[in-house]
Amino acid sequence: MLAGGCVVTLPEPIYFDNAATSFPKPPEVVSAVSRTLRDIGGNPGRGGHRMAMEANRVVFEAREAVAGLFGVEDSSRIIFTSNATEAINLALKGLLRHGDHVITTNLEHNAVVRPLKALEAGGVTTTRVPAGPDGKVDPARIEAAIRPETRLIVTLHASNVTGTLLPIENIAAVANRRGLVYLVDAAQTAGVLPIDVGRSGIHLLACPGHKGLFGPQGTGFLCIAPGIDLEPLKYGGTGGNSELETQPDVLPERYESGTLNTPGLAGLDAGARFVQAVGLQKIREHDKVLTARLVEGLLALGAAVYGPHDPEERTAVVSFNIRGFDPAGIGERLDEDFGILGRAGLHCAPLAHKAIGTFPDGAMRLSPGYFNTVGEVDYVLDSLRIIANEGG
Amino acid sequence: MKADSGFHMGEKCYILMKATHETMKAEKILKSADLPFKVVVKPKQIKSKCGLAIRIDPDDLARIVEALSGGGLKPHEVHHF
Repeated sequence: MLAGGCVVTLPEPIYFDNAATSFPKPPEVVSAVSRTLRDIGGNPGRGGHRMAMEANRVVFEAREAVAGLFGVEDSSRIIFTSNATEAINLALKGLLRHGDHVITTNLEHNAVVRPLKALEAGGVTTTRVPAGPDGKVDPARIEAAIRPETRLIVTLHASNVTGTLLPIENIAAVANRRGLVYLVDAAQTAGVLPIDVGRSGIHLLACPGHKGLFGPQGTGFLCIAPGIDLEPLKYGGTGGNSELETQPDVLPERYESGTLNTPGLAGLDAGARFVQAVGLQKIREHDKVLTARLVEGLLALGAAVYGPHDPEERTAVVSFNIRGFDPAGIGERLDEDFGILGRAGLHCAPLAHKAIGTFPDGAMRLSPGYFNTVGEVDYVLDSLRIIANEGG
Repeated sequence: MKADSGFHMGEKCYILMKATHETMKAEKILKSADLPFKVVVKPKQIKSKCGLAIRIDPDDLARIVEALSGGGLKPHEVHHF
């Protein structure tokens, strides 16, 4: 905090990088991971001894916890992956074939952009519907891009650059009305906003375990709605059906070859239950308070703040620039001199930066989370004021 | 969880579910119903896709099937030997 005009760096860093991964984790997540590592040997799905069965239970309960949070009736349709990127790859490579057309937006993260780009070599074409200057996307423009060969619509739920929320339920309605599959990249909204896969008509939902769900890195999942069949991304041992030389058809094993991250999933289970216990509404309200204060303070500083300024229309992911400053320089100063941790650059989303006009320099991004406070937001703003006044 | 009494003289009963996931779901249902059972690796005589089996006392089959049905599950196979 400021004392006599000098900045006193707080002993603990102020973590404002939850868009990258959430920190800190709830103590019960840490305990769950640690307890699993300490007490549970065995490999889930492989063997019937008491520890293998314990490992089975860990994985099963994590699946049930996630299914409950996302309105998925049959938890066997939750496919665990190492992160949202793997989930997106499973969805895109599992679904799309030569000649298919995909509609997406110009805000997407490289987790969507790069696999689609790679699939072009296999005869898959893509239309990128442009967002407005605040990142908003009109579902009518998505519908207008539909062709006879369109197979899939894929969009993020919220931009990891501008924070803009996309109307996924409206887009799902378009997809269902027109007989298309809809994949949602919920990297920034899983555990932050309510998503009911069953009721919304979303066919594929890709989520990380390590952001809003407070699980460890190395966890993620794809929800696959009934009626959607994908080619597996990975082939290999699944525990059961060992006599078969071919990949089994049954879910979730069909898509989960190799050893799962059992300790990680114990943590994801605990994280998902933490979110259930706190309640998405409370988490969202807290985010909105911090976002409103941060955006207001940045605007008062004269910063360019990207995305909608209304916290109702965005997540707590705030990218900005201060005239005359390299965002990388801001990021370094915040870290070194003030102990504030955020992310400068292109955020693995060059398209989004091109859409808002910040390519190639990028922006400084601050993303407070559930464990951040209003006091910390004020400290961040005070620090930025000092940086801004000293000049770039 | 009540284990079954171990190896029986005479008949044993093995319930096979569709796959591991359903077996774990069945285990949870039967545990909360406080019914006697044990999840085991399926004996070699059973040629089934699922590697795990639910071993029970044959006399408990009806109420176990009923409990599973209440949880939306149906045994995929049932073996007696």
